Amino acid sequence: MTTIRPFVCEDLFRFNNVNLDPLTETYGLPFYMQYLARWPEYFQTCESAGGRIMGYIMGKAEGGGEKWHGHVTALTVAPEFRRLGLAGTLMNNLEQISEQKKCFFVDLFVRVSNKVAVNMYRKLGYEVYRTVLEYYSGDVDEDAYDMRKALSRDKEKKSMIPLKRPVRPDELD
Amino acid sequence: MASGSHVDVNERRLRPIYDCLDNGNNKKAIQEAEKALKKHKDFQCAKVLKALALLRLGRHDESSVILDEIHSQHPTDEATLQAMAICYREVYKLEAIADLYENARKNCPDNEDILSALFMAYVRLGDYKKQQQTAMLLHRLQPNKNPCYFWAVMSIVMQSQSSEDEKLAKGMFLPLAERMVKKYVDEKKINAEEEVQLYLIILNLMGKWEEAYEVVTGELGEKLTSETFFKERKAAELFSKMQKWPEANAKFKFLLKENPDHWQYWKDYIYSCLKMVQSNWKPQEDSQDSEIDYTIDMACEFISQTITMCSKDRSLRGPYLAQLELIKVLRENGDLSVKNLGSPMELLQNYFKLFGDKNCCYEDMKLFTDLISKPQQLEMISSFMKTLELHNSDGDILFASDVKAMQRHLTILQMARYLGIQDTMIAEERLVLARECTQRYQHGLEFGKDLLITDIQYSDNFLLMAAHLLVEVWETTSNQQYLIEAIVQLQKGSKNCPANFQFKVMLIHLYSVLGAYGPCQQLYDSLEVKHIMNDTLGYVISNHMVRLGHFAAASANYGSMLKFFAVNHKETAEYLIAAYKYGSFNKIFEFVRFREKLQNSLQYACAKVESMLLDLMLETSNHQSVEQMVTHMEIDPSEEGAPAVEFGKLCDNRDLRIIESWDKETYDKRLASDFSFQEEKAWLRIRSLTLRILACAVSLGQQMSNSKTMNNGLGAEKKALHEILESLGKELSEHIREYEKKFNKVYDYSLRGPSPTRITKYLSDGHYQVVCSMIDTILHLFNLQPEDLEQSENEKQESPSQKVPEILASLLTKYRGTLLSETDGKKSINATVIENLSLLAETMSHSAILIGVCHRILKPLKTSWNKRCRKKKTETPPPLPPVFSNFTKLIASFDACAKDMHVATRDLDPVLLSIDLSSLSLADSDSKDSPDDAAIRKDVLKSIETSYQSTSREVCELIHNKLQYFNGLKL
Repeated sequence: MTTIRPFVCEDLFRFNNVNLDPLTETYGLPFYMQYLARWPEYFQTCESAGGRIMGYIMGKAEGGGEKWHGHVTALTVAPEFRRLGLAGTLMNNLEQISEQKKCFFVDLFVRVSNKVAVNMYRKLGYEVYRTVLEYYSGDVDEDAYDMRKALSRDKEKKSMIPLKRPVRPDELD
Repeated sequence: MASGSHVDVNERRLRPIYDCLDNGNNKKAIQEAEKALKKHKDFQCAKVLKALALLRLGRHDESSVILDEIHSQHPTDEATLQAMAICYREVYKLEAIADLYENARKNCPDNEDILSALFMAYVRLGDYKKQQQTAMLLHRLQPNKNPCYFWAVMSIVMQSQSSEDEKLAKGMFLPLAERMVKKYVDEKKINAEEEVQLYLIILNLMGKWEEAYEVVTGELGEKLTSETFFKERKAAELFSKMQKWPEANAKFKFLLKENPDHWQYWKDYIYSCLKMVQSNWKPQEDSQDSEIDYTIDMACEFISQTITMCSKDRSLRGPYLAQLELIKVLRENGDLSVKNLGSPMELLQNYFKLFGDKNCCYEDMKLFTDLISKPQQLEMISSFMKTLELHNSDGDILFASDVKAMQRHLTILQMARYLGIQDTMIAEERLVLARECTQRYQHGLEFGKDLLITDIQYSDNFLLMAAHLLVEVWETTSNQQYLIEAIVQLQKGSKNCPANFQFKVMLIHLYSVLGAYGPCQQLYDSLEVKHIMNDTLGYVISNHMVRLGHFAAASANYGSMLKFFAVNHKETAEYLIAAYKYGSFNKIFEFVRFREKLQNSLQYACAKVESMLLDLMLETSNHQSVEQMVTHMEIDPSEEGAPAVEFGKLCDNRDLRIIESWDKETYDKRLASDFSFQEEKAWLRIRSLTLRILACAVSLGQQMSNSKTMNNGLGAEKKALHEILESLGKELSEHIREYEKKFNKVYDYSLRGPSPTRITKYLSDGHYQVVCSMIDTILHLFNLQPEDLEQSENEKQESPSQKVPEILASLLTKYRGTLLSETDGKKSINATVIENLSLLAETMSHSAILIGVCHRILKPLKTSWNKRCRKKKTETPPPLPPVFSNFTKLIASFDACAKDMHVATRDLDPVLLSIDLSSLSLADSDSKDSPDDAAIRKDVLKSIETSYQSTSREVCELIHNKLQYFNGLKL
């Protein structure tokens, strides 16, 4: 009971019920507009029958060669609409778009402490590819998992073979 | 390759300057630039980089001298152009960028980079015609590059959108754009998805659905791949537009099979079905097409099939709600009835059975409760209640055994509230329910023991419900005890679950009702309102800060709001450019509209005007500093002057839907927010006029005392200041008359916001009289000639300003009061006294500025009168003209009035008067606080008390400054 549609600028005026959640970051306008201008198809939102924003996903496609992949920049669902499988729907949509673009895999970063999210991504077929040390800055810096899911183009699922050692943020490509 | 090595040398010389700029070492950058200029004194780029460094050091004047010099030389060198464009962007002189590249283009007409930059410069300016021309020049230069061509097409489309003339848009621009694309289609030159999308945009704007359909399904449609099912979706939409309902129906049915939970598809599917029923559409007899549902029964069948099909995995809500939607749509369209579905009552009951344990169940069901009658609604709620065991036979509370059962109960309570069932409760019943909710909340915390601190507690909504009920008990009984209890409960909830913003926003509302802004700031800060939220959520606090005398906080908050608005227009321009670069043509419309809405935001306009008024009031203890500030603010009092507010264009970007209160159907939220928008605009009008009046009067005073001739020295081309002042005064009076009717009483907004402005009090208590009388006085004095002084001796000089201290004094008598009042032995906080005295202090400070202007006008008159007296050398000096003695008397009465105000405000300080707010908590003996609640209550009362102290201190300080101000006004 959800309308999935492209995120539009106007939604920025009314996404507060989603963004007032402490784990959802509100960025400066350039950040959203950069994604809207460049990867509009990767920025989708869910709207309830009552017309409220339930959640949204932002992503992009990047990388060269076998590293050409879809990336989930942000995925969030408002508290009152959680546990309805919305995140899965939005992720699935992003994966399909990445398939269309002939990406090899989809990846995302998640706080190591965010167990609910890590488990959800596992259920959706994502594996921890590597740990990124102190990726999230804050009062205490926090590590991130770089989680990946291979797409059909990566038949042998090479992109998902976990790295043995953690990496530092400056080692990311 | 001499020229090549020359470039290398230049590059080498510039490198250190760039490095310094990149590292933010602007001083060093200047030194490096000067070094380079020593070797080569006409080195344009080095000069510009020096200008950039100066700019970043805040040395704007020196910087613009250099930029003007280079600009007039019409540079063409790429590095110089880029550096200059950066400078102009930083100071937001967008026209200068366009001019710069226009000059360069004239010198190098074949330079692609320059043309490209020129195009972008016009994009920033939104000059669509010039965009089109530049893009076409680029196209001629590079006929094989498609993007330039489509930039031109898009620029034409934008002209059609901005053209006021519909005929021109439809008759010229759009057909031209269409022809241009068609040419490329015919020549098989289309090669990107974006280009096809632009074609669809044009056809859509022209209403050419058939053609659009052919594009989508034809060869060009093959390129539409980035969004999943885009082609199918577009085709379905187009069929609807063409009113080809059978085809639309089949497409939506296909899409629903793919995504059975997609609400918009269900709505469109049902609509198409309805249209066929209404027109009695039937397939041709030999048709094999079974994919069209043209009867209601067929729609019912499809919905049921979908339900069966989906029942295996997670139950989707879509098809269940589609059943209700079908009934709703049929009823709205002439009472067509449905068999085979079950009654709405049964469907709603079934829905609750399936989804009652979901947080969103309430949201879903409330869309359809109109389908059943009032008695049925009551019956439904009581049947839901029977599914839960809530109390034992003795009436004791039975707690839910798990989260799901608890959520079901919450859903029922929310529905009951929405349906107005709580309306019939008397205060005692509400109180009992509120206390029960509090207990259930406490119990429910057990289920959420393992939740993260960033999660919302499962039982939070019980506490919110309790708070809403308590507020209503307060509203009906006027016993403030319950308001404070609501605050205590919400504070408790917020402590247990800091992630829940509902608690915080509601707390801000409630504290401000009690006149205590202090605790609101911390709550607001913890919401981490930033960036665009300044626009959408700033309203949560913005009407309370100045109203409740927290001027320092107001200043800081307006500052950060304005910071957002100041940069966003500048920053977002670059993304319009990005949208052209990436061919995201759909987004260009969006971006343009979005930027307009931000620029014309109500919140922005209010913050601008309020922060200026605040500065004029706060930062000034003498008239000289007011004059400096007015000069600094660059306020232009004339009609179109800064800070200009285009009232007709103002946009209400406030997000008024964030608080969930399960509002009763009877409270019309839309009506409330529409009225609030009107009220905000009216108040802004008064405030903005007040600001311009103050600025205009101050400038007039300055002008009078600076010009020796006493005539206003302005040329005829500009309206003289005294004329502007007069017309501003008239404008204010006219608006006051209009608003007095409309805003004669405070609108009964729900506590969930929006909140009222101060307009009603301002009007009904006649605060505007102060400013209006002062304007009359200033104009009277302005017209006074030196000769008039003697003649006026015998005249009784009754200037309108003499009324002003009387008005202020009588307001003070009216407003004076204590913070704690006692009626029928019950103590309560008298919050209006806070608001009243703050408003009075503000009005008084406006009169101070205006009396300062009078002083400025009188002072030279007095000096020249003194001179003339000395010349006459008579033995007895002539008596002082009454205009001077009256002024001295006037200042004395202002002074006396301000002193009284000072005392009244100081008396607000609860500590000074040793009012013990905690005595409030004993008033109601039936509220049995738990030890935890008691501790929170203590903190709450303490923070309210501290807030009152700050108000008292800040307002006192303000009055104190104004006393100094009056002291400085001696003739």
